[in-house]
Amino acid sequence: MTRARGLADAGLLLAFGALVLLLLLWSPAFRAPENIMNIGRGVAILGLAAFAMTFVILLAEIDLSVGAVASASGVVAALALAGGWGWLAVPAALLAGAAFGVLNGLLTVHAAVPSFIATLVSYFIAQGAALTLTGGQTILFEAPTLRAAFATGSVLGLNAALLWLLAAFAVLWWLLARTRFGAHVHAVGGGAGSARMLGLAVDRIRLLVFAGTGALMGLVGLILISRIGNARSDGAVGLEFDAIAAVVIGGTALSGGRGSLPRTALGVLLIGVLNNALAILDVDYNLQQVIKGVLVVLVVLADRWARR
Amino acid sequence: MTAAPRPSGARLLRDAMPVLGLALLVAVFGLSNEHFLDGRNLQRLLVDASTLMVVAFGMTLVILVGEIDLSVGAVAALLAIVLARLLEAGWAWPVAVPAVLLLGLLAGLLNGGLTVIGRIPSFIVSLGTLAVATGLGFILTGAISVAILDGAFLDLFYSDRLLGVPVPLLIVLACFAALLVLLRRTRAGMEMAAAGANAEAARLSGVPVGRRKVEAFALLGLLVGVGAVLAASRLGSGAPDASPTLTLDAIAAVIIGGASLFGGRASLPRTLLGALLIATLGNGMVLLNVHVDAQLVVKGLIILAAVVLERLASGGGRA
Repeated sequence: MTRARGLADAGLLLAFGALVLLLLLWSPAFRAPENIMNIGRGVAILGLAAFAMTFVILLAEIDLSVGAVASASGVVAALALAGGWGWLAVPAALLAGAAFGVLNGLLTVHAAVPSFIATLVSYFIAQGAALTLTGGQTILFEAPTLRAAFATGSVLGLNAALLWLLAAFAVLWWLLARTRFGAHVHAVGGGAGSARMLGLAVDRIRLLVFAGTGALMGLVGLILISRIGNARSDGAVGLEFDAIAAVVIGGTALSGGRGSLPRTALGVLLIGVLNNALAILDVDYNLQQVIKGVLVVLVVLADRWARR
Repeated sequence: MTAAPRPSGARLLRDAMPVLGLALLVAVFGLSNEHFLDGRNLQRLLVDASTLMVVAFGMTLVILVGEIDLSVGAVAALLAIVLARLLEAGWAWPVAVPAVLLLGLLAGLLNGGLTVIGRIPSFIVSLGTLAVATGLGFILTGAISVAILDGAFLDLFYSDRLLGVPVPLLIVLACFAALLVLLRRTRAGMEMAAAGANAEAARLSGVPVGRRKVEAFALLGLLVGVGAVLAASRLGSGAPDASPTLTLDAIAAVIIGGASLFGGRASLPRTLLGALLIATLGNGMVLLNVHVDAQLVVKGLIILAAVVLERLASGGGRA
């Protein structure tokens, strides 16, 4: 099993290396430094969602609401900014996201609703809330410093959104790989029953992960609206799919307990490069969705095969 | 299915919810809007709900075997587009309609096959086919709806009547009757319930669990095809975003009908009531001028209540 695992990991790295090499050699547009920064900016939102999703999937749960919750949080922040709340828009967005996360957690943990149903319900509630709050309009706001802090500014040539991503990666990696909490997340995902017998606070761990995912989606909402300077109800539509795809491509098991953040980061990069390459090659956006859909199913199948 | 049922208020409420909820909605909408109980409005409500009803019937089977299909809305939209394109290309409808039903069946087989043979959780498989179907739908249309001009087809599947009943409703009734027989009178139907209740026990007593699951997905696919044909004739077109809430509505209908989210317990008549409740809610909120976006929130909250109620009634365990 470990040998097959090793092969699968090597395969992922190899596929990624080959893709990047091919693109570097073949496409001058791809190797332009400007484009490399484009990829970095492009993966910030996907990366944050995928990192949170890694925790959720490690627990053998799923969160289908991340895109809708990020959109709704962004709308809340934009309305707060348009209403003159200033920096209070930041806690407003984080709280809105966390509220949906807590709802997901309560439903999954305390009502024992399967997480794909619980989060599907919050997906629709968040989408409906965002649509109702915006009235289907684009919300405009003026907040140059806040926008700079979350997306448009840069430090040492690194884009602000990318810095948030790197910071989140560092903190979450430390949390997952170096703390007791991270070890517990792995243990609960490996088997909630035995984790409970070991005396772990299984329910609290699961609730925390869902709530934290929601709060991170609040951050994603802030980055989303800061990047373009306005908010729409469908700002992060489809984010859940790309995030799950990145986690799965990174090799984190859907059955829980097995996976890591660096792997997800590799999956994020792969999807980021793939998106970028498909865009450069002028592949239709919708065809990109088709390709990603097929890819996810193939990767999960390959993973099953490798672990047999 | 459950050992020593606890007679609880939650359980009674869950079992009564589809009937009570429907009666309540009809009373509220009937009292607050003079047009709601109009014969014409009620008939339109039913015909508008025909797609939801047949898809919800199929979803009942898939939830009964302990699986889920998140792709039905996208696949229904795609199939309606394919139908519109085939008719546009000059296919006669008696050829195009079976072709679309066959495609629906194949989509269901794909979801079921990948779930069972590939041993992938069905929500992941159907999330993948959801992405693929949505993408294909936009590619086939360029995001513009494709009009259907075949008058005979449009009349037959929307406005024509047989024995005074609109054809779409007859189709819904036929699907309902056939599935009811399948579930209550055939070995396959009973084995589906057994497979969903406890796959391991069912396997040990000789139930071909995998086959029954694939069959449930295939039947759902076929019914999604039927739903797509009805939607295409109702709307007079195929469009990629024609049914944004069909998936949620279908799952909601089954849950409001009191089905267990873990499989093994689901009832077709209750799903029918659940679908009618969802359809009545939509129709009534339109009459009361509730904004379409707020409708989504209301629907979400009602499903939330149904889900929590179902879990409370099952005592929080996987019963």
